[in-house]
Amino acid sequence: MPVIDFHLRLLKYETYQPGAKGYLESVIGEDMEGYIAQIATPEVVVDMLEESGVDYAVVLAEPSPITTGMMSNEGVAEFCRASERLIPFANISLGIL
Amino acid sequence: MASPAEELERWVKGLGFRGLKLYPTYQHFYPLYARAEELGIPVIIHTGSSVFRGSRLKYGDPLFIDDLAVDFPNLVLIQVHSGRGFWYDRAFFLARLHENVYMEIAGLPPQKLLTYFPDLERNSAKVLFGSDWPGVRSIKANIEALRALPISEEAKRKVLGENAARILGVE
Repeated sequence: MPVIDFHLRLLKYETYQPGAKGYLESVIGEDMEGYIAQIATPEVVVDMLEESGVDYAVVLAEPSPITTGMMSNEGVAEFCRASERLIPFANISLGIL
Repeated sequence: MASPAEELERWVKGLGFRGLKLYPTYQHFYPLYARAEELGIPVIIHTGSSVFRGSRLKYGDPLFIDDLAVDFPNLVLIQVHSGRGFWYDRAFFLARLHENVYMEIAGLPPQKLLTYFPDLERNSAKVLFGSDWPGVRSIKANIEALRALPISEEAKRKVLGENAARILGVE
């Protein structure tokens, strides 16, 4: 039986909006820039999935520069090319194609 | 400039995308659904609350998905966060009512699932595990919390992966 995580969000650190940044800092409780840099590669994410017992994960694009931050469709496509365990989901915001 | 529907086709056929996520709480749509249905990809839609400034909660009402389920019967629709906040009952009801509507539990503490959805077992074929990582510290801890719930092992298997595998076409 596969274990599948349907919801990974990988915003670029420099695009985090204050609300999203504050929320993530409250969750991780450490230097956020260092943490995001540490998890920013597909190899690290795949290792984390393996350690967590997850076989596949959906990786979400998130072009939401006003509310949360940015992870482009191109960025997700490139990220997921590294492993068949990473499944890309696009996002289309009508204001910022 | 390409239309949103043309863009979607390019993402799926050209770049290998296998699904589409929408945020109706802070984005606005419609023609994409028909193209997604044609392409045979699921659409996952944010429902319920969001703590982030700029979000508009009213568009997170899962009830809007009722129209989509009726208008696009061959489109798999996934309610992200399962109507988090005061719409849990609506998200659950819609997933029970419509064959093509699912609920995804990212952002919800797994140990609280039976508080939010007392009849979770009955709807276990329509529930999908999601973590919202890195918004949670440990995916593994969430999986363990879900496995500790007093529901059947069959239901846990469905929620943790079998339902998603069927939608995504993986084994």
